[in-house]
Amino acid sequence: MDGNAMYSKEAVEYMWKAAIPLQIHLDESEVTTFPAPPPAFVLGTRIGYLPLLMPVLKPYFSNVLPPGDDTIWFDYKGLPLKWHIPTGVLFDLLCAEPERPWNLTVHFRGYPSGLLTPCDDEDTVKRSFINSLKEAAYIINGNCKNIMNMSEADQLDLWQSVLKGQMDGYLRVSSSRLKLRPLGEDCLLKKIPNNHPQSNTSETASIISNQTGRIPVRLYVRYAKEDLDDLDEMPPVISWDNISYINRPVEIHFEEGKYYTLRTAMESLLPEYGIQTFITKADDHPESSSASTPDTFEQDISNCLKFKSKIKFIRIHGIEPAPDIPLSWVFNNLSNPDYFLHISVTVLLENNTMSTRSLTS
Amino acid sequence: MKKNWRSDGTLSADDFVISAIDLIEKWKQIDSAKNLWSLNSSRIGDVYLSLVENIYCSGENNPNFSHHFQNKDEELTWHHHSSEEINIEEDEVYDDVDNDTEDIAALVLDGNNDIHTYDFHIIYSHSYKVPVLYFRGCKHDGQPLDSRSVERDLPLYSSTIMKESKWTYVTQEEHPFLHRSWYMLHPCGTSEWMKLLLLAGSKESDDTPRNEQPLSESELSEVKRYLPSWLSVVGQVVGLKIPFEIQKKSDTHTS
Repeated sequence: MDGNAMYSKEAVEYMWKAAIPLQIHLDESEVTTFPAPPPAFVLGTRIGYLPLLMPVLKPYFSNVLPPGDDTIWFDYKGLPLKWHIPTGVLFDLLCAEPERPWNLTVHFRGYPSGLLTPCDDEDTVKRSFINSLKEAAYIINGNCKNIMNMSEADQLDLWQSVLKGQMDGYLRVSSSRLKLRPLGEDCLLKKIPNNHPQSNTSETASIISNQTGRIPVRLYVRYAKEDLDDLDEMPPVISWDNISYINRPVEIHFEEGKYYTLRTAMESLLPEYGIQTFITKADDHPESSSASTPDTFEQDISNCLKFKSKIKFIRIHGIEPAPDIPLSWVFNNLSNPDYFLHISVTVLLENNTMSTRSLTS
Repeated sequence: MKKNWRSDGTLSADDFVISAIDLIEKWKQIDSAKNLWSLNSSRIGDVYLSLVENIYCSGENNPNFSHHFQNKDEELTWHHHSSEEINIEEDEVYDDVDNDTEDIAALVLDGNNDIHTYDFHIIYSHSYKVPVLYFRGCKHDGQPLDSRSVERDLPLYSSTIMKESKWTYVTQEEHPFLHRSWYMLHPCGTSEWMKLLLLAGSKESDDTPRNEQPLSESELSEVKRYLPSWLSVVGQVVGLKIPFEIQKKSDTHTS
């Protein structure tokens, strides 16, 4: 693995260790003492899930809670947080300007079952994680038999590694049991010729016969109504209806000399925006733009122009990668333990399109 | 160059739309079909099907009458399957009459019956490349049903098949477009049993790769057959009956 140019152990280690400082306040309706308890300061791992903080938060707040059963949930500025989205993705998506520490409100009562999928305990989070893993395996391999046939012990080992943030333990189980290998050696993803020395291996044969790779990607797109210069001015998200969730793999066709970048992936995942303008921070990078011809006949050029928008930023694990970074490198090094590449996008809608387009339409 | 869908039991996103539109048209032509599927579009451009069904059920204080029923004047759309037959046979039409009679008695005896409304959505999964059934139930006043009530509304067949198979199960998941919690029949095993189902129903096993040219007539009919076949299995699990004529039309079309 060390000789693989597409894999950087250092990058993966950083990804596993990344954490967000959280300042967690107990919802005032659940405070039964005076004065209110001080907030809890916790480091939340980016690849983790908020309900997993229960063992830390419940003892901290239990003395002031009213009687009743505990079901933990969180909100940020009034928006209930979806527990099955990794903590780091929620932060990147909801805090346009990173807020440190991130102020969250925790609740142990009044679970908003109309808005959030039930989450009773750690086992629910584990099942959700395993389901995501199965989905990723299906995308990559065409089936999820390796996960379905995994023993309970291995499954538990895998989950415990995620729970405790232990990269080495995770890699040990995932490499031997999941068999979800990183993408090809070369960023050009060249086809392996028939006379290649390894062409007789089953893995190589599978690649040759397949000729198409699929990368598990989940896109979270936030829309803002105004062309803001200052991210601090961006209004908070008040409803999940203002966020588009796109769960769609990126297909890569192994053609000679074909070059897949993060930009090409984004263009395929956001078909509504046929013409994209990437704006990075003005002081750091020159503005780069890209225009692509719509692939399908259904896509109307005028519609693209009508819904022209600007991608304010694209964030993966809190960083804004250059659009031309090789997609295989991004996937191999920045995927979450569920083997999904989670991408947070903030899109600014042009002011002149507001009269013709509604966010909820 | 697209891979022929019959060889692996999956369906492309474009073919899903073709099959969905055809299902709607066939369903409309059935006089006995009370409720109709409709086509919807999400804001990110995905097309999906939706259907609303009402069922009558007994209250919680009458566990002995937990099975569902309808008035004799209305078509029975929910019923039990005692066998594991995938294709709906003529005999079941007779069985429906018996069930209807029995259910009327239950209706008379039970003074606490309630109406549950179910929404069904058929949404294409880009990950699994198969259709997925999402559903949710609510009471007559619009309150969502809890999981215990939904579980009781499911046919007895469901609990049997879900105990026997780890590939077929219902979970609570977030609806991809509506951002709410819905029930979902997990799609991870769909392509496997669709592969078997389509091969069984197909007289000719053709693995020829299909190019980008327009579909031939026989290819088009195979694509259109996908959703009725899929629904004949999935519908059983949730008690959603597919009218006999739909299956008949699909089979006739391919013969």
